Amino acid sequence: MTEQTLSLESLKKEINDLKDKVQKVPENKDQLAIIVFSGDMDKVMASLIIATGAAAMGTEVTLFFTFWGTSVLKKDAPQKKEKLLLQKMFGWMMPKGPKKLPLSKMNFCGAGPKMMNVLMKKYNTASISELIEVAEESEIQFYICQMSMDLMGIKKEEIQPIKNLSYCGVAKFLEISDGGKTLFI
Amino acid sequence: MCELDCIGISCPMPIVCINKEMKVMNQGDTLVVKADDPAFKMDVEAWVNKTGNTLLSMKQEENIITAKIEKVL
Repeated sequence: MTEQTLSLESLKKEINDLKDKVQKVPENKDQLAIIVFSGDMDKVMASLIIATGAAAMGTEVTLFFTFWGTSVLKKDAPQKKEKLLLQKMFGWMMPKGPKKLPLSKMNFCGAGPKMMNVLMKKYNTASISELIEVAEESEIQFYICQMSMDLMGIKKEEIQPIKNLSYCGVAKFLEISDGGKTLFI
Repeated sequence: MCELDCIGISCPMPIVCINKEMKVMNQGDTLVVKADDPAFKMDVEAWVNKTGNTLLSMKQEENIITAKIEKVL
C-alpha cells in the first residue's frame, strides 16, 4: 500500500515537472523569415514566390534583404553624389533595381534575363516588381540590412518606396525569426 | 456564391487571389475557382488544409481545373 502511494506521488510529481517543462518550450510560430542574400533574378524570384505563397497560406512573412539582395529594392535612377569613391564604384557595377537583375546561370551578359522575360510573358508569370507589389499587399514585412547599405554605399533615398519597410541589424532579424522557419536564399 | 477566374496565371498567383477573395467573403460562402495551371490541383488542396477551409469539389475538363471551396473560418 505504501509502495503504491509512493509511486503515485512520484508519478504526480513527474507529471507536474513535465508540465512545467512543456510550458517553458517556446511555441512554434506560424512564421517564415527569408534572408534574401542573392541579387540574382532567379533566386530573388524564388524568394518572392515562396514569400507571397506563404503569406497566402496565412503565414506571417518577413523578408530580410542583405548583401547582394539590397540591389533588388534599388530605384532605377542615377546614384547620389555624396559617396566614397569605392561606394560609387559599387553603385556603378551593381544592378539598379528589380528589372536589372542578372541570372545566376546562363546570364550571357544580360541576354539570359531578356530571354527569361520573354518566357515569363508567354506563361504569364509574375515579374519581380509585380511580386514585390503582391508582397506589399500581403502585409509582408521588408527589412534591409543597414550594414549592407553602408558597405554598398546605398542611400535610403535610392531605395524604392515600399510599405512596411525598415532598416535593421542582425539582432532585430534574429528576434523576428526566432521560433519560426528561416530560409537563406 | 463567388467566382474567380485564375485562367492564364501561374504560381503563386492563383492561391494569392483565392486568399484575397476569401478574406472579403462571409463565413459559409462558396467560391468557385477556375484555373489552368497544372500545379493548381495540389496547391489548392494544400491551401484548404493549411487555412482550415473546405474543398467541396474539384473537377478537371481538358486543361481547366474547377475547384469549389467553402469558407469555414
